[in-house]
Amino acid sequence: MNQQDPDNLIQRFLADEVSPELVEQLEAWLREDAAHARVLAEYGLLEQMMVGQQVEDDASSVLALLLEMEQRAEPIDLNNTNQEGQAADWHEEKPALSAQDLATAGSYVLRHSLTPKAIAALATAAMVLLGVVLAAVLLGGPGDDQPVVEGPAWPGETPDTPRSVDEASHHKPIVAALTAEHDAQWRASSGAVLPGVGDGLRAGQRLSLIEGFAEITTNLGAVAILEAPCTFELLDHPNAIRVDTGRLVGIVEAESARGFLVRTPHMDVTDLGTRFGIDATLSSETQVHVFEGEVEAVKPDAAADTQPTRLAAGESARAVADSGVIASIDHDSERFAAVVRTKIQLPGTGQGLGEGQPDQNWHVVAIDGAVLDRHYPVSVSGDAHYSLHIPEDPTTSQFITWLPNTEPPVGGSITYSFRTTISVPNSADPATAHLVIRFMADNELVAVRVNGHRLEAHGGAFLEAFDRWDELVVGEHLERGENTIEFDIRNHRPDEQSASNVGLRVQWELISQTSVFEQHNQAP
Amino acid sequence: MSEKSIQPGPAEERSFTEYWLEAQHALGGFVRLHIRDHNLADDIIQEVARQATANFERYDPSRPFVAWLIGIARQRMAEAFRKQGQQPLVFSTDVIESLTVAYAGLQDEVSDRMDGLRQCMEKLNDRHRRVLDLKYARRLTSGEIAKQVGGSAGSVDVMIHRLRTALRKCINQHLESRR
Repeated sequence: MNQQDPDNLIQRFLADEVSPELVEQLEAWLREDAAHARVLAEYGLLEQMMVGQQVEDDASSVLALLLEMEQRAEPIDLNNTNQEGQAADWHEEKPALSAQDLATAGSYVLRHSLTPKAIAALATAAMVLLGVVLAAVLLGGPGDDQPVVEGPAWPGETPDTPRSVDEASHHKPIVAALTAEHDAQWRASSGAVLPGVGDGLRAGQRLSLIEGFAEITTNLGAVAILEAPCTFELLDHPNAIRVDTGRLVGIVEAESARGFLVRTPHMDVTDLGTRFGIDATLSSETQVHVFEGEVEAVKPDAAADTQPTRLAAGESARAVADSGVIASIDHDSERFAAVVRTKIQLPGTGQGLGEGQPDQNWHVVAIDGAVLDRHYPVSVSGDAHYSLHIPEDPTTSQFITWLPNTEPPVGGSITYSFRTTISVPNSADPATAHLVIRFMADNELVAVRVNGHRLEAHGGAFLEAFDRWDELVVGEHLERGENTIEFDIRNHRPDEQSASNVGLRVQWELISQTSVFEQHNQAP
Repeated sequence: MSEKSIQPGPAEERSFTEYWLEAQHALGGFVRLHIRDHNLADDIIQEVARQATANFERYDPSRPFVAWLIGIARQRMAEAFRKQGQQPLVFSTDVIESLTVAYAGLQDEVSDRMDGLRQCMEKLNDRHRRVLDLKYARRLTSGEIAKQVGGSAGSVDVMIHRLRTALRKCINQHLESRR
């Protein structure tokens, strides 16, 4: 990189001509030398100072306002705070100090960078008052006359998520909508209108679901299914909800909805594109169970730069009161009634057939990856050595094999592709559908293909002892309706004259999780 | 990480306001490095202030205050990007750490740099000052600025590019002269 490049990169970055390639080049340069980060930081600081420089003249008027206010105001004891961490006397009237004054000055101080002279003057002449101003404005201060609802203390409660009654939220933006109900009964505070399907829900709106299920969809597309009894509140954000008590199942499929935040008394959970359940029914703990994808969990009172705990599908964790730890627990998706777990038993190989009978569900369609001219039938093997340790059972499954008289005239290792089709019913959710497969193979399984997508899979090679099952879970590329599944079985054949059966035995089931609403909406 | 800009000690010994006034420019520098929309940057900074105030008792004074603020700012910026449906195009964690160290180191120089900027601005001609005023005070786009001062949006971009480079160089010379 020559001497011209860094400046050019920085200027393009500052001019908002940002691209992944530019960021990559800039990062490479920044990593070359720690001093380079300082150069970029200086440019950022220059931007900040330029904004501040342009408003410098206004600072004197703010200083004058603050000093005037100081002369009028009585001292306020900031240490006198309540449990919420808010100044206890915010709502007490201070006639000499109007809320408008505080808000005006405080907002100015926050929104604009004051010059050193202004800072020095403010710091020495009006530091105490500034503290009041900043605290008042930052914490939501005078003029914010939303009544506070009585309720349990929330660890890590911040003023940007005020616990306000429904009426107070009327002027706030709509951040979500009630998109479905199932046997739902609501309870709202006095005077509040109970929500109906299709209604927009506003930031700060707090609702109690006392019976049934409700589906909330945030403005960014995250779906939250709430299970009664549940009390929750929409946060002032297009993709966040707070659950005081109850269970929630989060479904985040839209890309825009990634980052869906669920705040609970003991844990904040941020989705990373997933399905998960949150159980906040106990006051002493909150649990999160990840069904699919990943989430990040963090204690609400954790330091801002705390690394969140990342949980993947099948993992669960809980956070308890008075502990800073998010601990791993056993996975338990069954506790969420909003999710219906569907299990469909699929026919095993050779099920219901006698020895030598063809299994019409299966065919060999390729050898060593080369597609055959037709789909060759397979039949129940009946080879006694397959049943030496685990007897074959016509009621569940038996080994199926390539018919000997159609064996190809080659020797060595040959891979046979056994194909079948399965049906994923409309009632099953393909996003969560997965096949749980128990199998044995002669000699071994080397891959599985789902609708043409090859998935690496190995197993079944038991040195021909066939004394145990191997297990495999396949959850990718399944669709509603008919799906083509292929098992690639590699068989070792000494030479082209020797017979060497290829065999496959499968017992399997299709499992999916479906929300109560998806199940009702789907055709049978 | 440089910690010279913060005097370690219990958080309660120094008020939030003192910390904030000291660190706000460095925080602003970090935020504006990533966000070109001045109004959005203002909102982010204000949100950081709001959250930092509410959680001030959790600040560990053994660490630079500005590093704590930048940690909060990263979360707020990520939220803002998501809210706008944008892919948060941010630096890698190690680069962010380097920038955080750099801003902590710059914090002590802010006052001198502001003095330097003021003096350097006086050396600019009227047209240059007007362009900067239109960009940073009135927050106009390059196209809007071009309509007022003449030329094309591209020529305004080039001028701003050169002004930034010149001002940074001038400010650093000012600092050198005072050492």
